[in-house]
Amino acid sequence: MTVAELARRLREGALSPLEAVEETFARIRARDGELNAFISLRREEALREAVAAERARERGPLWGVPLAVKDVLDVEGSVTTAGSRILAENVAAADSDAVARLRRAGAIVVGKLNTHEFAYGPTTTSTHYGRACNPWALDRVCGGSSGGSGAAVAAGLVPAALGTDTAGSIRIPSAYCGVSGLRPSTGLVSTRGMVPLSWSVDTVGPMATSARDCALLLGVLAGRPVEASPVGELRVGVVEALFEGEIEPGVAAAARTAVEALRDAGIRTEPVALPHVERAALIQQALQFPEATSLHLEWLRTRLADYDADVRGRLLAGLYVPATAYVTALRARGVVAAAFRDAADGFDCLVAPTLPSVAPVHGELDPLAENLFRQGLLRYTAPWSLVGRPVVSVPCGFAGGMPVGLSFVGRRHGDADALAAAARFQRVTDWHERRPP
Amino acid sequence: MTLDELRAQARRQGVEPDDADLEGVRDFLSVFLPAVEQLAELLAPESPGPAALE
Repeated sequence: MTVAELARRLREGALSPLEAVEETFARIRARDGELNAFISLRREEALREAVAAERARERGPLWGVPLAVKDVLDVEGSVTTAGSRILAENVAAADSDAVARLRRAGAIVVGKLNTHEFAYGPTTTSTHYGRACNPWALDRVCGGSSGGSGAAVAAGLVPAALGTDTAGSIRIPSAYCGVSGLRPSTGLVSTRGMVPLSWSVDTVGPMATSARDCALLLGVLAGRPVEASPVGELRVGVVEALFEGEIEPGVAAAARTAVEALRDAGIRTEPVALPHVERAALIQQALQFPEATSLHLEWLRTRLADYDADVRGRLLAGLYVPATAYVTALRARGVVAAAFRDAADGFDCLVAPTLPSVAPVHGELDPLAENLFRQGLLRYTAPWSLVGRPVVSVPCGFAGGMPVGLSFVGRRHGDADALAAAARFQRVTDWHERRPP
Repeated sequence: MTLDELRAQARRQGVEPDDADLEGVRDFLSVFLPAVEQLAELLAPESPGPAALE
C-alpha cells in the first residue's frame, strides 16, 4: 500500500493508527528475521504514540502513518548507532529535523533501519549489526548505505522510509531493491540531527514505492508541498555515455527499454553529452575523503579497531589527501556544475541508468573487487551528488530476476520536475508495483 | 609513498594504523592521488575559487 493510500484510509477511519502500527510490527516480526532491515524497534513508544494520535485534534498529511528511518537520523530517546559499535549507546536527546517534520505531519516512527557503517559504503554488511538482505534474493546485498530502508520498503514492512545520500546511498538500495527513492537537491532538506558523512554533499530523502509518495514525503521534509504532476511537455535528455561502457548488458537493455517507454508516454527525449561526467566520481571522492576523515579524526585516534576494515581503510585514506587537492576538487566542482548546466540547458531533466549492475551476491566481493565495484557505482551516482542535483531512482525492469533502476536527474532545485517525469513514467509502466516473493 | 612514510604521516595526526591497513591505503592512493593531480587540467587560470553550490 502506498503512503497516500494508507493516509487516506486512516483519514477515512477505515483503519486506526493503532491498527496500522500493530499491523506494521506484525509484518516486521514475520519477515525481519531473514532481512535484518532494522537495527532497533520503537515498539512501546510507537504503540503509545498511535494511541495518542487517535486523540489528536491536529491531523497532518501523514497522520497515523507508520514509517521507519535510517539509523543515522536522531529520534529523541532512541539510540542512533549509524551502524557502528562506536555509537552503540548514543541516545539521541532530540529529533533530527527530518524526523521532527515527519512527526509533526502525524507519522509514527516504528524503528531505526540498518545502514552501512557510518553510511560509508554501498552494501550494508557491517559486522556490528549484521548484513541486511535483499528481499528479491536473500543471498544478495540490498545496497547501501541506506540498505535497511530499501529492504524494508521493498518487502512491504513499511510503506516508506527515510534514507540519506552522500554519493548514492539512497539510489543504490532503491535500484537494487526495486523501490523509488529521491536524493533531494543538496540543501533542500535539513541534515541537522543526522550523523554526517560529508558535510558538503550529505542529503536526507525519502524511499517509497512510487515517485508520487516520494513527492508527498519531500513536501513534508522540505516544509512546502511538492507537486509531481508535470505542466506541459517534458523534454528529457538521455545521458548516452552512462548506457555504455562498464555496464551489465541486461541492465543497459532494461534502461533503454525504459527510455522507449518515456517516448511512448509522450515525453520528448534527446541524447545529451555531459562534459566531465567521467571525472565526477574522482572529484566527489576528493571532497568526501577529507571531509569524512575530518569528522572521524578523534575516533580514528581512539577507536580505530572498532571500525569495520573497509570503512577504516576509506577513513585512513582521507588522512593523505592534501589540502591543495581538496581545494582543486572544490574548484573543479564549479567547472563541472557549469558545464552540466550548459549541456543540459533546456531539458526538464536527464535520465540514465541508476547503476551499472544488479545487486551482487553476499560475499562475492573480495576487498579488491569491492573497491572496483564501488568505483563502478560511483561513476553512475557521483556526478549528480557532486553538483547537488536532485535524482529520483525508480524501478525500470529486471535483469537476471533482479530489479534495475532508472534515474531522473533534475536541475538544481528542480526536484518537482524530476519527480513529475518519474511519476509520468510510472503511469505507463508497472515496474514499481512488482513485489518480491 | 612507503609504509614508513604513511605511518609517520598518520602518527603526526595521532593515528596508529597497522601495516595491513596501510598496505590497502597505499594501493588506493597510488591510483587516486595522481588522478586528483590531473584534475588541475580542468582549471583554467581564470577559473573561480572554491564556492558553494548555487
